[in-house]
Amino acid sequence: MLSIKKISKSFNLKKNKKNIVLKKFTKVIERGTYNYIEGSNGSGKTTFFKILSGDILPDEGELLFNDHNLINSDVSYIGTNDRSFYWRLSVFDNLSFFNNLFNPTDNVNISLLMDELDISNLKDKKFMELSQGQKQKVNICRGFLKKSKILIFDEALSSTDQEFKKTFKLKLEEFLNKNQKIIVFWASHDSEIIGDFMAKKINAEEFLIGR
Amino acid sequence: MVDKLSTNLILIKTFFIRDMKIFASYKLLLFTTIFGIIMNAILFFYFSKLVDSSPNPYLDGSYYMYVIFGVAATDLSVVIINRLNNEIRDYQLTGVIDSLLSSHHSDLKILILSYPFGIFMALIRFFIYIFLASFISGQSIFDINNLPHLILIISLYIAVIIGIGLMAASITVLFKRGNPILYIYFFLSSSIGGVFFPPTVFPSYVQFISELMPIKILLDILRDFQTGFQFINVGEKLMILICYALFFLISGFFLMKLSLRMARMKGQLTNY
Repeated sequence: MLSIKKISKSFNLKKNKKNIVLKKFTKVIERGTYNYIEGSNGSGKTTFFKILSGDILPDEGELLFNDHNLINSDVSYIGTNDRSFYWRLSVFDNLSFFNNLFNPTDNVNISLLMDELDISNLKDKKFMELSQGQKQKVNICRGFLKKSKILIFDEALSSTDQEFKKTFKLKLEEFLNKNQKIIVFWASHDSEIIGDFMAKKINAEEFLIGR
Repeated sequence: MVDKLSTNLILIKTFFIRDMKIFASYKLLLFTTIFGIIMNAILFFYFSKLVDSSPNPYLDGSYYMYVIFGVAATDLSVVIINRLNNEIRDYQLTGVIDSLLSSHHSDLKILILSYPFGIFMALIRFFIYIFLASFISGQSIFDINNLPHLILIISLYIAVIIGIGLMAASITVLFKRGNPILYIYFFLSSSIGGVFFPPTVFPSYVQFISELMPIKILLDILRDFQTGFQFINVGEKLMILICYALFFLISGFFLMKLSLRMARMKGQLTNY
């Protein structure tokens, strides 16, 4: 169970103004659930995800996962940032590096994972040679390398083709069947995939309910 | 304990291979690096003739060997002090920092893992300078029996400059560009650190400050290797280096932790 307790976050703007993104946001998310965050651009979805993944610290409040503080390794954040790879290295070298970083003594079989996501043909290509959609596929593949308890997909499929979306859906279904206690968060303007999962909706307006 | 050690060794190897592959992916980088060192060594050889052509009250031996030690030690310092600073800047510019820091390892450990390759390259550059200078001038530099002493002294100096590098990098995490620590260190080192000329040309109070500079301590010991090194004679200098290493490493770790936390609070860790 993920307990989000009174999380607040604001950013300082010019002239002593503040942009309040989250105000005493409280929510309990059960394990094994698929959660769809709905909200317009700038509504705080990514900030909320970055707080979950530890990239941004909240001003106040706490995040508990099964009664212990949520830590970086509990969360896998898969966004649209294709800059989060080493562009001069091959796809395999990149995945291998992150595999060793996330699981130094207990590696995931990268070749098998690439096969399952149908991206083995990209293995020896340099990351900089990939198209936008291919980069996103590799990004998703990296997301599965990290043995996390919470998976966040933030517009993760926005540049991928229909065929990959189908492959990804199968992989995600299989993954969730194998790991039934995983919590999935999803933010996307593409509702195609979300419709097939029994997603619980969280409206980004809830972030500011305490205001 | 064994698990922790093997995890750390795997991580060191992983980061080393990553850095080596990125270095090798720039096809001209190795060539220009070695070419630059060779050109410097030759240039200073001819420049030194100007100084060595007449008796010099400030120098005991040849100016060439004096200055080449200075240049090699400065190069070592520049590469290592800038290492973490440049890596953090690269991580922020390329955007890889958030994925690196999303593992279960501490932020500090992940950032420090960029050091092994940097130190490896810095040492290679240092020894190329020294051996090239020895070859060009025909002077022997180190007695092989002193190798353990040399390793100890260079290791201590590297610990000092890693600490200074951590302090500088903590400023880069928060302010991104315009690092005063790097500027001050390199200005003081090259002006009064005994790199290009002996600080004895300065008034006594400047000489006193110079004696406290880590690079001056290293250079004094390195130059002793040529004129008859006695381990017992450098005990005091080694103690100073040990104190510096402890002070700068502890301060560097503390400042780095603080700056990472502040950057995460402001949501600026990945900004550049």
